[in-house]
Amino acid sequence: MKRFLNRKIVWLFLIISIIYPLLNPIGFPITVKSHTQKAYDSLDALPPGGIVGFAMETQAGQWPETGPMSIALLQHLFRLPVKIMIFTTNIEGPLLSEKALASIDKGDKEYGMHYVILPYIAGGETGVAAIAKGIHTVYTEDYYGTQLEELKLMTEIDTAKDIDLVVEVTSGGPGYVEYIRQWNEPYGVPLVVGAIGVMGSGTFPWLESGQIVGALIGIRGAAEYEALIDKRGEGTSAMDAISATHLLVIVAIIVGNIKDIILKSLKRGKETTK
Amino acid sequence: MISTSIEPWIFALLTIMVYSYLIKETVLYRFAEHTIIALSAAYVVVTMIKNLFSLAFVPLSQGKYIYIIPIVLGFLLYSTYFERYRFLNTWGIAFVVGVGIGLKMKGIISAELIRQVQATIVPLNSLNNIIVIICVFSTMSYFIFTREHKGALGTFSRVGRLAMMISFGSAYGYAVMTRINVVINIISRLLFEWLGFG
Repeated sequence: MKRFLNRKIVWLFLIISIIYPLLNPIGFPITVKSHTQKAYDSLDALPPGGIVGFAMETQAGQWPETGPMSIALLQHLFRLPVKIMIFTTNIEGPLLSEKALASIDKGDKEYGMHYVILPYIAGGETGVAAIAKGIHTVYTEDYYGTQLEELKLMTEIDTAKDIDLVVEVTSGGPGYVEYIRQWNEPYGVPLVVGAIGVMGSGTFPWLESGQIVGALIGIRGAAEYEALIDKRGEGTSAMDAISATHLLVIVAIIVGNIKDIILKSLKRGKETTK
Repeated sequence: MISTSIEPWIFALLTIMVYSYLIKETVLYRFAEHTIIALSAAYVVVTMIKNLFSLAFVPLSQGKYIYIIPIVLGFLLYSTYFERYRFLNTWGIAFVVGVGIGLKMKGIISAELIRQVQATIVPLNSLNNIIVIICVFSTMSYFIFTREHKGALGTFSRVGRLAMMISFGSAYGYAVMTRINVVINIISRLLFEWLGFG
């Protein structure tokens, strides 16, 4: 069957609907959803000196979506009087952690004292469970090769029980379910999730049950969080283009269905005349 | 003003090479694809070897002899390349699969089954809760295959199908957002970092 619209034409419309709002920002209002607000409140309620585990479970391919939310979450954490242990079971995690840290204002926080980047650990969920059970049995050194005993922050952490909150930025495996199974359920560590849009609707049952205390979903979640921390970033600037392209998708769905209805009625008309 | 640094140029050229696929599968597309795969493979190999040394060989050299077990089991996986000793790789695989399943099972019952059922038992005092209950039971009724879907069951299971369609629609919407956002990021970098607009 011949295609109604050539895909190159669809791409052309798509590119126009992206470029125009990027060059001429429309400034659609960004309303903060309750799950994003809950994520913000959970971080804000951390006690002074509290320790946050930041699981950078994402890959470069998904960075356009997980990058802005990682930067926004880390920026908020670096403004709070808390300590941050960044870890990952994703091979690109440490590189992306460095990339995110390079984009934020670290204030007076010092490496080793207030924050640490740990290296990649293989094993997926097994790795996630092992880190929760005994951080020092899994890691002997940080991402830069410094022994953990030489890093003051790491002398304060032994197991998941020493962590006040886990923030997981995920684009797949391990996802939030693995962290619920290995961190939240056995150790009671509250979990805040930053997930790519595709995983978004899957977070709602866990938010309802309280196993996830807050969530940032997709680039919209990042834009909402940027509004909450009052720092305009890539999330905010992408929102106009997102809205324009979604409008295009809605129009394409309507046009496609109208075409389908017309073709069916024409076919039926031909059959009745026969 | 167009960028004069090398990074945006490499990014732009590789992006254009990849998008040449929209015309057809070109040599440029293949070159970009192979470059990305080669870079990823090299990075993975180097990181894994580094990991192996820091997590296994260094602790072993410090007298933690228990690490011999995972090292040996790991190396047994390579026996797959020798027909005569291929059976040995099943020991390593059995260990990995056994530990994985054991860990998952430990969490699934409490975290996924009990807590999720508990969260579904809600008082019928709000419209939201009523919708949750109706959607849960109607969706479950859709998967009853021992009775024909006629009468009340047929109507109720159709409600379940509607609930699932709304759920899939929401997932599709988010999926569109994810995919389009990647394109937006690429075009944004081309416009602002490479071509120097804005």
